Amino acid sequence: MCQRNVFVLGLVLLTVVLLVPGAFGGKYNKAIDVGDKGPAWEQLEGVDGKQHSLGDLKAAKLVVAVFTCNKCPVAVAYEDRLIEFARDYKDKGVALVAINPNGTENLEQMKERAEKKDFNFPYVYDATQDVARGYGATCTPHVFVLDGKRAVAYMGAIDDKLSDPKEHYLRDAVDALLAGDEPDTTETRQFGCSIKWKKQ
Amino acid sequence: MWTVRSAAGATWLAGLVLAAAVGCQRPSMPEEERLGESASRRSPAAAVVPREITVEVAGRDEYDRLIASHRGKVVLVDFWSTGCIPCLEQFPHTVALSHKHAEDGLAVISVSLDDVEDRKRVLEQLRAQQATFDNLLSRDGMGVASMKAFDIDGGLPHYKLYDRRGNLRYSFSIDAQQPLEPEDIQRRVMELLTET
Repeated sequence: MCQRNVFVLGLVLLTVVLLVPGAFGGKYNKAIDVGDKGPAWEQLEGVDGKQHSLGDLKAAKLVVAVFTCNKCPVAVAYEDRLIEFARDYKDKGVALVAINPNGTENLEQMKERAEKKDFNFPYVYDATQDVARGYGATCTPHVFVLDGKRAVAYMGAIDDKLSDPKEHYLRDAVDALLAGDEPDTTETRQFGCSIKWKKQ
Repeated sequence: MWTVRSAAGATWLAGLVLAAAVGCQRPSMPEEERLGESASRRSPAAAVVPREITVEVAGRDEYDRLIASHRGKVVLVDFWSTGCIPCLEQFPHTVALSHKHAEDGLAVISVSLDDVEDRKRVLEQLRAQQATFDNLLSRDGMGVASMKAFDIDGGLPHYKLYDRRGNLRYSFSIDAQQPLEPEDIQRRVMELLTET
């Protein structure tokens, strides 16, 4: 009796699962897969006092969304690399947006950080953490490259190592896409501090 | 629409169904031993032998050997980094678990994702935390190579739990699907300590 019921249940689940697109997420992402449309964020408040939505960036060839925060030393160490990236790719039609999803941080702290480091990209606050959840973000920093159709073309780590990196995944992916190609590497394991999730 | 992932998922589910079907034939489990009761009957003066705090640079091979050397015990692994504040905040809970369940058969291992050059700083942190258990320092530092070597999906802190037979039973970071509290880690430890 037990065996048959389990078997039937299994078949039902199998059918359901096969019909649901993106049911298994990416290799290292439980929420979305490479090729899925990146969830649009709407009206997130930025350190500039304005509201920011993905739709504002229609003119950009590519959008790079990076989940980051003020206090994780790993994320902080990557700020300089993000600033350099923004400087190198702004005129190539690539829009970088930094999103803070940390439940224990706030806009005031973000403003201080942005001013101190003179961020050359928008830094917006994901207060409900819904954007981070939608993207399957797990840590800071965690980066997502959205192509011309705003589908995820690369996601994971910015490069391969905090100190002395050899593989520059983000730049390589962006360069490939700007040249009209697919990135060689579309997904890597992100590393950094876990996002602080608020109790729901 | 059959993608590689759908096919992989189908295979996984088929295997799950098979395993469940086979599992129905297992005999019923004996009653769980009440750990709390046996602990209170134990002498409160049971001494914790002082142990020098050390850290060894290691890769996956050394890690696997260390896990195997604890066969017969439940093993909790705490993956952390000196550059990870949530890790430093959670570490005391790992230390507390190691003291609380040492005599119940819990072994604890910490693995730091720091640069090998920062070994001194890692050791200072371990001493400050009183990490009197096996401590490793990943030879690949903080990056993709370490995450790959130790099969870490997600952010730090990351935890793995092995049962007394050396099987990996839980592997988790604290993510949106399961915002874990220290009590949840304790519960999983207890589950593995009491199962037969």
